[in-house]
Amino acid sequence: MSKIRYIAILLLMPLLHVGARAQDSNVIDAVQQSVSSYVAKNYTEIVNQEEEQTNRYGLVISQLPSQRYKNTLSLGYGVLFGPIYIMLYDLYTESLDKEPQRYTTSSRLADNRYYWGTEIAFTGITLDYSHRLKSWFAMGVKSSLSITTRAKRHVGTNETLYRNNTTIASLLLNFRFDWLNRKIVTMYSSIGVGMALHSSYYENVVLPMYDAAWVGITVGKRLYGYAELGGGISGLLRVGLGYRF
Amino acid sequence: MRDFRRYVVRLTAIAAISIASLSCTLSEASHKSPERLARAIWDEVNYDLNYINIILKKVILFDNMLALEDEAEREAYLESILNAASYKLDDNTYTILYINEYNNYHTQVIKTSGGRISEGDTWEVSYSGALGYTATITPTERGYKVEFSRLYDDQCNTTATLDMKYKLTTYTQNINALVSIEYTGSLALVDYTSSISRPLTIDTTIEKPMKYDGSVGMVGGRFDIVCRDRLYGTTDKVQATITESPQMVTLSCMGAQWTVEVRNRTNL
Repeated sequence: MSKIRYIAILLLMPLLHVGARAQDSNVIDAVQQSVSSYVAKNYTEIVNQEEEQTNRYGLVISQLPSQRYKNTLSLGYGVLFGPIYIMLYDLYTESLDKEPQRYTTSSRLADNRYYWGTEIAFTGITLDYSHRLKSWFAMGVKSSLSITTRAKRHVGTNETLYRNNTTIASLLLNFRFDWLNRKIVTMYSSIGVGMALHSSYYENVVLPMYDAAWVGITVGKRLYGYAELGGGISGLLRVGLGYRF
Repeated sequence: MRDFRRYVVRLTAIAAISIASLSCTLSEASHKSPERLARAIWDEVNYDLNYINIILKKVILFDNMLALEDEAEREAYLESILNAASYKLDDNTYTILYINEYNNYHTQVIKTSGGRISEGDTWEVSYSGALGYTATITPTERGYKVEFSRLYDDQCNTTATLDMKYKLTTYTQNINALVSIEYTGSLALVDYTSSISRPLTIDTTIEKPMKYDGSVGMVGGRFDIVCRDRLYGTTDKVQATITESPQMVTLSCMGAQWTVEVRNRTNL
């Protein structure tokens, strides 16, 4: 008999438990509803996204650093400017050729009286801000700056006749396409178009300019490092640091 | 928030260090030596000295030619010694036609009073081509006074006032003649090509007589040269000393010294 009662109690426990929960819920109903509505209001959308948006590697996209933050700020350095600088300097030289300088006794003697000092350069510094509009697409502005400085000095006294500071600055509208998102690695390509200013002692020229990162990789979470292989005003190879916020 | 600040501080520090380390030497300084300047200034003076020497040599040889009585001898002299094609006399004025090595012609006009400079006559020599000049040669007690003026491109001219002596060695067995010229004085070059209001001037004082050997060129002389370029506000001083053997010129400028070849011109 006692065994039969014991089994009956075991079978009825879930029902009793449901009854108890029903009784509890009846007791705290107002508080729970309030909390539930708050949670639903603030987190439901995120939870739904987390549950729904996973990439092909099975990673929840909203948990990826590249997706969690909408804004990115990066500072970098580029090298190997080759073609773009040749283009800039060719244009610059061409513009000088349009107004041929008169070669006079004075200018001939000045060529020998003065010499060019060491040319110091700060080249290929880029600052990039982008705002993510889609999980795979971001838009922003990209600026770059290169400065070279060189003084023309007297051969005897070393006095400076003048200093030629050449600045190449650009401001581009940049479009970035993320085509691989993993936990700490993102790979992307980007293209930017805009204007560049070539300013020197002799003249200032504004030119249309572009910059492209054919293949770029970021490694890190909020603070990350990046490397790019590209072309344009930022150089062929670029490296730098960025911050997501 | 604390994380954010920490990241910003780190990022700023890294960026500052990175930018500081990005500066690099793009190209080294170009060659720095006053030698090229000294040579360039000397070249300007050397050009005028050569020009004057060749004109004087030709005038002296022409004067010598007039000593010949026979017209055939004169023509032979004219061709072989003066490299001239022909000459004509009209109202005490000689017009000599020269042909240079490029087969270009130019004419030299010598206005006389009917005599020769070696006999006390004053000659006005001129050429009105692209490299126009006038030279007045007046006999004096010590030799000759030469007042020379060269006008090039309307914007560059040189004037020279010289006390000249010359010696002519003739050979009896042939018609060759050797001219030796020696002079002191000063040359003044004014160049307006860069600036009309602030011209470049090169003033040369011949401290030791310039010696010219008609067969080899300049073989002596010391020249104090002051070049003022008002466009740049500079004054450069060069001293040039020509030695005969070896035939070189030693240039001094800004406390340094170099010995270089004397570049002589053989023709106008």
